[in-house]
Amino acid sequence: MPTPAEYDQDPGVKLMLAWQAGDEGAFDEIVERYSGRVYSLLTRFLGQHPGREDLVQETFLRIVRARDRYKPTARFTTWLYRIVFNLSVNETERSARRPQLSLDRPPGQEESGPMEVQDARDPDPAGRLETGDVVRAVRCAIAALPENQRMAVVLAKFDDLSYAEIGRVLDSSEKAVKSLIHRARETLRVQLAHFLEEDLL
Amino acid sequence: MSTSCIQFRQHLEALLEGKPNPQSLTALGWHDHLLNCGACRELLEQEEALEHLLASLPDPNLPPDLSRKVLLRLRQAEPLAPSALRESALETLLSKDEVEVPAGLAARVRAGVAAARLEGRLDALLEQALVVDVPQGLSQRIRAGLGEQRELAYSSVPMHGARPVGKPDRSGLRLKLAAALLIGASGVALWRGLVQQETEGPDPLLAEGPSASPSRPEADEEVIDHLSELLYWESIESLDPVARDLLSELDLVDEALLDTALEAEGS
Repeated sequence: MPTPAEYDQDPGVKLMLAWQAGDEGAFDEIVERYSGRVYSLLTRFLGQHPGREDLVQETFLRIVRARDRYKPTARFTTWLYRIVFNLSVNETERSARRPQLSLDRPPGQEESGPMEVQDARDPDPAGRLETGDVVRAVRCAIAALPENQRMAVVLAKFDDLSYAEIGRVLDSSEKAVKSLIHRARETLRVQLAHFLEEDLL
Repeated sequence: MSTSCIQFRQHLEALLEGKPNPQSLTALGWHDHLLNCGACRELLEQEEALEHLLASLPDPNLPPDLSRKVLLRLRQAEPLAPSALRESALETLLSKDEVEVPAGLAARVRAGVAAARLEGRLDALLEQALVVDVPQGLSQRIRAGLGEQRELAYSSVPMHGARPVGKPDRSGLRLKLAAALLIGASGVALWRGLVQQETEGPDPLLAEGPSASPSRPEADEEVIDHLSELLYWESIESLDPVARDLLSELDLVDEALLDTALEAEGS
């Protein structure tokens, strides 16, 4: 099948097609090149979820299983992020149904994430905000966004995806993505109002 | 909200797409509309501050050796993946509608087959590899078939550059499959030979459990490469009447044996 010219030079597409044609080393390169990006995206979407490495593995397992039917109809990262998004949503739903216990963090070293209840509007009242407080609050506010809004914001702000590309990841129109991000920003402005005032001073 | 507010906010939203240029946002602060609209000025300030907060988030720390660990765990989780992938490569090769002969392929194929023949280990390796009895003289027939028929094919086909081949008809499918089985058997033999040259231990193909997966990636890759080229070549040659002659000499026992050889490769 001819590759659409617009994706011909996409490095991930080239690797997938090489692997599909029998170049086994191409898959190793795919993992080396993209596993860090998958892990970062999962961290930004799920927070300090203890199963992120498992989800990275699951992402690439899905790629292995899709090898024969893969068709380059988008940039490789668009397809990859869609897999990550679907897995993340499933994981969020699973997590919501079971009590959360992190096995890889000792007590007292918690970092914020969707699994931890924290109100970004209620920072430490004792004194001036520390950088760690701000980072934690921003992560918490992002983690509290609805899934589609959260992924849209993360992909737009941290992965430089255009609204059209985000639409392909989320299976939404560009207009819908614009609306998602608009609503997400509104929520973040409310949730982080205290920090925004600090920033303005 | 006035029309000018709407226009200003549309302008602001357009600037906020992706990672906005801070200078553009600052420049927007000089917009005439803000002289008379406190609400829009406040919104602009908040959006600038929010951008600043988002940009201040550090990149997540990656676990050490993440990609290596992922690859390792993938191989543990999917012990059948290598053979499944190889099978898929075989399918891909066999289903190609149009193929071209890569430069230098003929020389490489001849070198690979000649090495196996010269080392004279085909019978012994086949006997070790397969659980069924090896018919007397099988390897000789394989060698003869591969060698002589290829010699004939090579002498009748120009080897320089690429040669486009037309779409094969359905009647060639069985021939191609049989050719693939034949080549698969010699590929298994070559693979086993390479592994055994490098290790004194038990044959990994005959071991049991998850550790039975081939553990000599260099040898594995070398033979898979070689095998892929052979398959590639054979799928072309199967369209040639010369190849039909070769395959007509195979009897049912031979075919069953070659089938088992491919299964052994997959295990």
